[in-house]
Amino acid sequence: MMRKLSIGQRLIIFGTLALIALIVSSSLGLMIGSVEVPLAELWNLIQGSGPVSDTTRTIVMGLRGPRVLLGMLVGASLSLAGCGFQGIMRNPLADPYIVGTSAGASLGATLAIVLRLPSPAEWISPVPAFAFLGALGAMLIVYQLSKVGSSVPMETFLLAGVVVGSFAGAMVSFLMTLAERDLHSVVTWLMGSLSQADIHMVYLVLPYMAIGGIAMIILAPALNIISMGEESASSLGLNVERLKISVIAIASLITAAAVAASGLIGFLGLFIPHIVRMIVGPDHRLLLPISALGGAAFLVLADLLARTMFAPRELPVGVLTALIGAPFFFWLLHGRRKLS
Amino acid sequence: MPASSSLSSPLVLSIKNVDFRYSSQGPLIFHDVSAELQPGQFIGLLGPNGTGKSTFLRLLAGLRSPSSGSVCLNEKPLSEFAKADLAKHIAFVPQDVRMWLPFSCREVVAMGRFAHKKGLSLFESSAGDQIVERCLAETQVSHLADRLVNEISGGEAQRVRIAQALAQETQILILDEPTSHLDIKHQISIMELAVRLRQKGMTVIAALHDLDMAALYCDRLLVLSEHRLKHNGSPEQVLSRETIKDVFGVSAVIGRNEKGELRVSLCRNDSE
Repeated sequence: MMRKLSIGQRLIIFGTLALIALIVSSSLGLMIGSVEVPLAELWNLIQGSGPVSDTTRTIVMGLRGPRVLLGMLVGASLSLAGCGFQGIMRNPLADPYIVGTSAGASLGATLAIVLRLPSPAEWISPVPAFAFLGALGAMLIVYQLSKVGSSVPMETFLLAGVVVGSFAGAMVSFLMTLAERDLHSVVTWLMGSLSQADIHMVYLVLPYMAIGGIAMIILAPALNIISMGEESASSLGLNVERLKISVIAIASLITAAAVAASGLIGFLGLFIPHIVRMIVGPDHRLLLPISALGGAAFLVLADLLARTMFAPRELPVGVLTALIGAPFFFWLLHGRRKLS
Repeated sequence: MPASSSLSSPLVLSIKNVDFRYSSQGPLIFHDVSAELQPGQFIGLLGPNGTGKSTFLRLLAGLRSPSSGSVCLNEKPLSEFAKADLAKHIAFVPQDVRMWLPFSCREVVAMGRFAHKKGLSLFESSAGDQIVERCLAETQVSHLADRLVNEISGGEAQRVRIAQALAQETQILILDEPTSHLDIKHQISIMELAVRLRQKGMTVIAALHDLDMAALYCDRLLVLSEHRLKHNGSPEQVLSRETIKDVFGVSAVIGRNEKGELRVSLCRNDSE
């Protein structure tokens, strides 16, 4: 029945639903914690009128607010990057980390922790800075390795991603065995967490996310075309190589920004695009924005669980997304085997 | 401006002294192939398996570049066209029409409008929507418009892809074995569609296996054999007993049916 609605109508329907999900999850994220914030007071604070206690103001504006915002940005970024990579590779198993950005970021962060590297700029702390540089470095190496003349064959690209990822992963393990005293910080970072969130970090990630997200959505019609296969896409008038390079660049940038802010949050970028594709269909004009909203809502909710399930102890949110994501991944593989 | 005005006239696709290898060290696929495809014809491309019919069509579509020689549209090499411009002049339908994402047939046909979209618009214009509906009707798949492409039969998917190519509104349509996997009724409906498009002034070139079908519907036949374009002419000129024996290694009788149409009947090899 949905198929008969125009793309604009479907965008409004699904967009509204996803927006409601995001508003609900972020309200819960702001309200629930060691100190509960009543809904009425939260509403007063957002409205800017009515009584609000100082505690509430501090908790919402200083602690939970930035954390919820960062969760949204990271969840949306990873979902968009996942959609992009799955789109250009025409492979449902591609995820944001497929080009070795995760391993590159891990290596950068581990080096920063173990070698006590100073930050390259005063407005950013060393670990996110080097994680970001590591992610981009890995992506550039993978890109150079897989370039054949002026084209980037996706099979080579995937293989190069695995090679660079394995190498950087081995370097991380090597560094970890050498520097036992830093083991805890490295492992915590690797598992992914939003606990370091502050408003400063939100401002750092926001431009990448906003520009990258808009650029990716502009490429939505082209991503639809490339789903026909590279040759057919080319005969339909798409500059295939230019699209692949654009998507690789955008997806890697927003992944690098997300990883720098929160460490490795796994599986989200793989399965959010899948679930959303099952609900809204394959059209990237719907898939990209709805995945961004859905990924944002999901990560805010997962983070809420991560910090409240075993309070006062906090689980790394990356552990939780993987705990939910891994069974889904198996189910996906199983379903595919049954189909073929 | 001069380029676009010269292209509004009937388009002649020509292939001049083309050599082709997949890689610089690879074996020669074609040697010194030349042909001119005149507008308003339905051209059949024949040849045994492995003679490079698909590669030949990809050269004509600008999807592959010749190792030497040139493929030109009204004297301008295809390599000098922007992808989007070429897609407004030449449409190509591959043999394998499977897709990995479950788009609806209407959405697949609408993708044919990609090259005609202006700027960064995410949505189709209403004029574009009308063209999509017209193309669905032209290939008789309007009733499938809301079905998903991975839920329909191979023959239906073939016609949906031809509708997509028609939505490109090109003068030249290239079809790679459009009748393979189709039953006889659907084969004939594809051939008759090609004839209708030719009558509207389009140039249609299709790789075909069935000699009898080619004799019945095509205006001109090209025959690839032993790395060369061995024959290029009308079905009457090309389809002789000797040529068929020489190129395909099979025996056939050439005749006419009661309507006077050229027919190719195969004979058992052991019956001679």
